[in-house]
Amino acid sequence: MHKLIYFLKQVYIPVIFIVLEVTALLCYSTSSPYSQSRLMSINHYIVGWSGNIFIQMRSYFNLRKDNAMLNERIAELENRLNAYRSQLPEDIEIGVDLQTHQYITGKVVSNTINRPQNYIVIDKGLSDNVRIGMSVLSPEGYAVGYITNCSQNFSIAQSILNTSFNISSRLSKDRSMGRVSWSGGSPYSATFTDVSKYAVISVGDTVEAIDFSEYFPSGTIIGTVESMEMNEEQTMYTCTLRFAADIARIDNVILVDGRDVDEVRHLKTEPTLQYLPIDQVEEDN
Amino acid sequence: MKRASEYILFVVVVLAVQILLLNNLTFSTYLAPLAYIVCLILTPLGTSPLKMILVGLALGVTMDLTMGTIGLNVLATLPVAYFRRPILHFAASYTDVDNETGVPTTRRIGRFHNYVVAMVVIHSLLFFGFESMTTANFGFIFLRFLCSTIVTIGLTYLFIAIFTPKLTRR
Repeated sequence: MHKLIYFLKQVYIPVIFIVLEVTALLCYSTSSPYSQSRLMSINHYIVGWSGNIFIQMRSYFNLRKDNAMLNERIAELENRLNAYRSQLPEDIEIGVDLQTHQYITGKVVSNTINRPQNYIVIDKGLSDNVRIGMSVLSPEGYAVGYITNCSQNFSIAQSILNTSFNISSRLSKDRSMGRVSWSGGSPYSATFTDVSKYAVISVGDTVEAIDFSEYFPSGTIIGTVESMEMNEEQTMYTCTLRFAADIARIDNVILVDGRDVDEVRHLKTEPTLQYLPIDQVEEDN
Repeated sequence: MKRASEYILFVVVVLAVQILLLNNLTFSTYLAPLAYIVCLILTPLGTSPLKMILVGLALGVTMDLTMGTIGLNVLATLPVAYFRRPILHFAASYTDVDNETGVPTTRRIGRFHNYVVAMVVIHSLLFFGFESMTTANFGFIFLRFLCSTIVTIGLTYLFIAIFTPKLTRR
């Protein structure tokens, strides 16, 4: 007790000074819109600067792990490429014109997981050819989100941890389709609904993006089935899905630009096309 | 007791000049003299740190209420009040604060002018720094700081010349 009183006697003057100074700063910050906005921008600058330092430190300490993962990925892609090459005639080379997706790597600047609408800020923007609608994948190639806004040097991606996220997907084995959505709560699991009761599902089955997905390249793995149950009407399965990507710990991402995505989106926003007879559509074109 | 009442009277006069005259100067946007800092400069040397903080707080709050800048003057005045001992030590090489009770003068402090300039410059830096909080228009902000600081130093010496003989009278 005496030691506590002695300690308080030693520190009470600096504490009073700090408390008064902070109180004055708070009063000043709310005294006018100018001071409020300036202090907010200084605050954002400090948060961004310190966050960047932590990211750089974390990246440095993860280099060994990232390197191992990249080696595995290279080996996997080499194997896949060799498999494709072996199926092609010898005189044909796989060129850029056959490439259906463009890949850009990026670093995560900030990321939230505890809100109903979570977003990821990435350090690549318009100057790096990033554009709205590009898919965001984890370094392992798992679904993470898609770009919703870009500035010159940064972009914002809507994470799959977003209550408005809802995409068509299918079981990799069975090919039965359903919808993946996130309703908040755990950042590790989502719901895979509207799966036909005739589907053959088992725990551990992977769920992937469908061929004509707007958000992810075909076959992008979203997660694995953790549990499933039949709905009340006994017509559909509702499954709990465990995300393949660990969004909470993501540092690096791959941005993928599908060449046909814009065309698909454009088609979907043409309301009259689906009602016109085929011959009339051809005449219009 | 008499010395305390003289010091309070001095503070009242300085604040009256600051509020009624200097705060209403409209010569130029480059001039915003903050001469009330002389009240902290001439606070008796033996004043405890807690009392210094309270004097700084009272000065800052009074000026904020009269200038309509809630918190800005307190932000600038409190650190100057709290760090007066280190300022005396580093700017004027004066370490004998606890054994002295009188008002700082050229007789008591060898490098008194360094002390005055350091106190005014630090206060002005904090005031104009918090006022602008940006490096945009740096030229304007720097000129405003420079002109105001020079005028404040002049006014501080004027107050010192007028009041020091009365405050140091025994």
